[in-house]
Amino acid sequence: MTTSEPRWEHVSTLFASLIDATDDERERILTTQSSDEWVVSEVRSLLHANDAADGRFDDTAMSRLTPEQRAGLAPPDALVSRRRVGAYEVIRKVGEGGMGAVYEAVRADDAYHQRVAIKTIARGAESTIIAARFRRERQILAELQHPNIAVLLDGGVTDTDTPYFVMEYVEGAPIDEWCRTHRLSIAQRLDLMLQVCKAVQYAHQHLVVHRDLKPQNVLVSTESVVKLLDFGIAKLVQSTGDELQGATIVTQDGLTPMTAAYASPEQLRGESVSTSGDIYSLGVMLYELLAGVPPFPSAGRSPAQLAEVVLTEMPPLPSVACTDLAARDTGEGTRGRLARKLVGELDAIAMMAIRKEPSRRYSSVEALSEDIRRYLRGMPIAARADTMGYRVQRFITRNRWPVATTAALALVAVISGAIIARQAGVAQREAARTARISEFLQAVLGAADVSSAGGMLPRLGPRASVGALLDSALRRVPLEFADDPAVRARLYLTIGSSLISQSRMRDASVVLDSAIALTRAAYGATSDVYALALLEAGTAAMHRNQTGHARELVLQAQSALSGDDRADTELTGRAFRDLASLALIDNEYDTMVQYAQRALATETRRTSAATLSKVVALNRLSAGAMLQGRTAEADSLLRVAYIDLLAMGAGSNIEMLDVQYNRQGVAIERGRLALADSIIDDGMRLSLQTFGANSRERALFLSARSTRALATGNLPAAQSASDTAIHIIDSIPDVVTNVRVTVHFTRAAIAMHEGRWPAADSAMRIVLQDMRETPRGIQLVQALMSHGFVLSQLKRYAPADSQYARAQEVYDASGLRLVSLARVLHASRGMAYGFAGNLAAMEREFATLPAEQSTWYRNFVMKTIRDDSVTTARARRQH
Amino acid sequence: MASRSMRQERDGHTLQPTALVHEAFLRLVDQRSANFESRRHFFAVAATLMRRILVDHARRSQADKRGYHMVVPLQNHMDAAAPEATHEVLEIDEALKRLATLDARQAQVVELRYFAGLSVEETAAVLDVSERTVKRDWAVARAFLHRALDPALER
Repeated sequence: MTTSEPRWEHVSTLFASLIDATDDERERILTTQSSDEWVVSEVRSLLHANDAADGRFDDTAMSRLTPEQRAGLAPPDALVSRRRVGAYEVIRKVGEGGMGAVYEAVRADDAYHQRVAIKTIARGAESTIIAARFRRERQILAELQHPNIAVLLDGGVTDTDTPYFVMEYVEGAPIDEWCRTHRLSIAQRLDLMLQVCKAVQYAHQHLVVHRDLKPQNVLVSTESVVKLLDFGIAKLVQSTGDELQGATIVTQDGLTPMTAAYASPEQLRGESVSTSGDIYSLGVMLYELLAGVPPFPSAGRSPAQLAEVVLTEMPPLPSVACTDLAARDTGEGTRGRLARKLVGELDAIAMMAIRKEPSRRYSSVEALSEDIRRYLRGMPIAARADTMGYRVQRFITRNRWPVATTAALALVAVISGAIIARQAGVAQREAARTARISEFLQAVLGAADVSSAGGMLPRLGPRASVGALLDSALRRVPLEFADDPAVRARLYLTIGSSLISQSRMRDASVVLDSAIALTRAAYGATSDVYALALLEAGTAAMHRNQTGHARELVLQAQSALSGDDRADTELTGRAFRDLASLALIDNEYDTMVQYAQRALATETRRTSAATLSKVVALNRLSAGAMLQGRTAEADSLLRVAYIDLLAMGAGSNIEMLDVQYNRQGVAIERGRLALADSIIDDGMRLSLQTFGANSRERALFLSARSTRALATGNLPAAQSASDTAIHIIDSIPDVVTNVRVTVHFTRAAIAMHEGRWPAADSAMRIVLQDMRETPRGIQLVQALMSHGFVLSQLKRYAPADSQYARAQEVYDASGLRLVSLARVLHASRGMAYGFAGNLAAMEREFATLPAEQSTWYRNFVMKTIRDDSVTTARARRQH
Repeated sequence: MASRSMRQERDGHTLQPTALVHEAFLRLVDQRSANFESRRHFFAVAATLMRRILVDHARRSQADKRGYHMVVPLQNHMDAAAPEATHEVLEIDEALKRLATLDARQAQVVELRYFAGLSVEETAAVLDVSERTVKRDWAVARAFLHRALDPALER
């Protein structure tokens, strides 16, 4: 470090060490620590200044100024009452804008009465440039004649070189305030937004971009008419490098005033702004009107922080971010009701508009308006993936059929129909077949509308009735379609898939085995249907813990799909995603990441819409990130997966449960317990709703709840959740290992927390027993480590060390890079050695730790040994 | 019912705390040639810019008080309240320049914390040092500035 005074370092260190010292100590140390008079006197005077300090630096420089001063600091080109500006006479100041002040004025001559607003741009150096630009642009801006756009009447430069604009005077309130004061409902707010969109769309058609859309620029007049202000002004005021060359620049003034909360990412990055930027700002406004808060609230954040957040973080969904106040202001009453109203379509519309990449937003304001209109009419919206599946579901909702599973059935049938139709030369025959299938399904599913039909089937809950339907369909298929193996093949495939979504994996496997054989025979070994049957069967096998068999099936599907023309198809993407999932179960992390990346790449090439394969790939990649300790990355990946699932209308899909489960884990890991709670609640609700109280899914979330309770030391809650989870697991056959292990591990963790070491020991033994088929993986490392720790607490040092040794082996062989985990392992092992009296070995383990940590652990061990021996000695003395 | 065409910006919606800060920030992002290798560079530059803006404006407002021909109520008000805070900024700026010759990093800590409002943790991240180092630097710098601003303490 170059400095004019090399002794300053000494001064600094000395000063810092003496801040909290008493006067006596200070004197003593000062006289002994330095022979340099200058150093001593510097330190003394700094200490004196520090003691006398008045806290003026506790806030930021900005906060030291009064609002007037701050406003006044933006320089002083203020207009005064009765002053003539162009053809107008200023009456009074009505407010401060981001760019300058605003005044009310009237026409100076008595030609006619016109009330206007004059907006001054508080910039000194560039006024000539701005004025020149205005003359150029005036024509365009004057053309903006629209009932929802405040007319720009005139503009110019005052005699003191202050640029100003004259526009129609609008009486009204900013749109957010208006909605709040009038307690407008969601639908009414959407209607207002449509007015806003119309205006912006009109301007875009005239090649004018607003660039600074925000509630303050969108007023609602007393007649409830929306008026947009400041169109095009932002553009005029913005500076560009070339134009500044001629002007004398005192300071680098003259940039577009921007409100980070509403500015698009590309604007914040200084890139050129297009209509897409306006769409983003509209999206933020819509978000705020729906949720009551903007997606990136600026409270408590510095501008740089806010920009950072806007550029890199995903905002919460409106349904998640909405506030109680918003619920009240929209007339929904409770936050829950508002959230339910926003979930799904409105979430999707808002989120699509505020996507970070311009190309992923609505392509035009008209498209955004169209989606809002469609929502209001109950039609399917574009923001969700443009899949048949979604349309089907929406259609079903409108006709009030029971629930998602029937949609899933129809969806699979339609997909397999679509797949088949693609294959050349069989179109006609297949069309007829598809029709037969549809009829059949219609007939079967039609019976589900129990309420109207008076019921062929007894009145059961939705899940039960679909299950019964599937069984009945299964019985009918071989009878009704004995003549047509192709149709039978596809129906078995459909039914098998449905059984999977019902979590009836064993049944699904049986049915899908038939489907495999039949599709191969009827459609050939390279057909898509055959590949699909194999993939579905693989999924069922995976859920039944038969990973080897599952992998074979998926690989067979890949062979069936070989060929360049199939490289980027949906099924190919799915095959990769399934292989990634299988790799995860087998703890083959590198393989998992590779497959997940290929799945994501394939899917992304195929479509820009959200797809299940993308979601699963993201889920796996997030696991990969977690295992490398990249928690924030894992969090973002999962967030995207979550939103994509919602956008797909797959809110109650199995994958959603998985994603939510992982999200809550990451949230806990990041210390965001409140967020974790809300995700766990959601997951619990979904599990119950989709799979019932006695499901592995619910058990998983109960474990999650238990772990989260442990995070704040709430043992009773942790215990009760864990007990329920164990109870469920014990009563279900064929539970995937990962789930069982998680549940038992949680129980062990609780015992460890309570210091019930014998109980922890037996619980960990069960866990390790469950894991004996898993020769590798992070859970194994954690299990071995934990068991080692438990054993050392029970003073069984030799067995403890062998567990630690094994944990180290597995960790080293795993390719994992989790520094904190590795450190804890060394620390625990070191402590165990220490307690056992093997200090040399203890030091060896501690040698890998940072100095501070090893010191701490060493002291801890010593203290524990000392305390132990004191206790023992005391006990002995008493006898 | 409020019936004005334009209204006061509310804090919640603007970059805190004012248009002034907009500028600093926007100068930053509009420097198309600026090549921010990393966030850290970004923050550091932002802090310096904010300091410059405040100082520039403080200087200008001082100059303005010496008889700008626009006479406006607001101006008077500002006159009455003002001299301290704006003057102080200039003094702090001078003192910081002196500090920078002694210890560049300590001066930078002041820019980041006092002008850009970053927390200790964020400052440590930007400067790539430990939080302890930041705290120490801040303590020294603060004492230095206090001493510089208070004539009684300055030797």
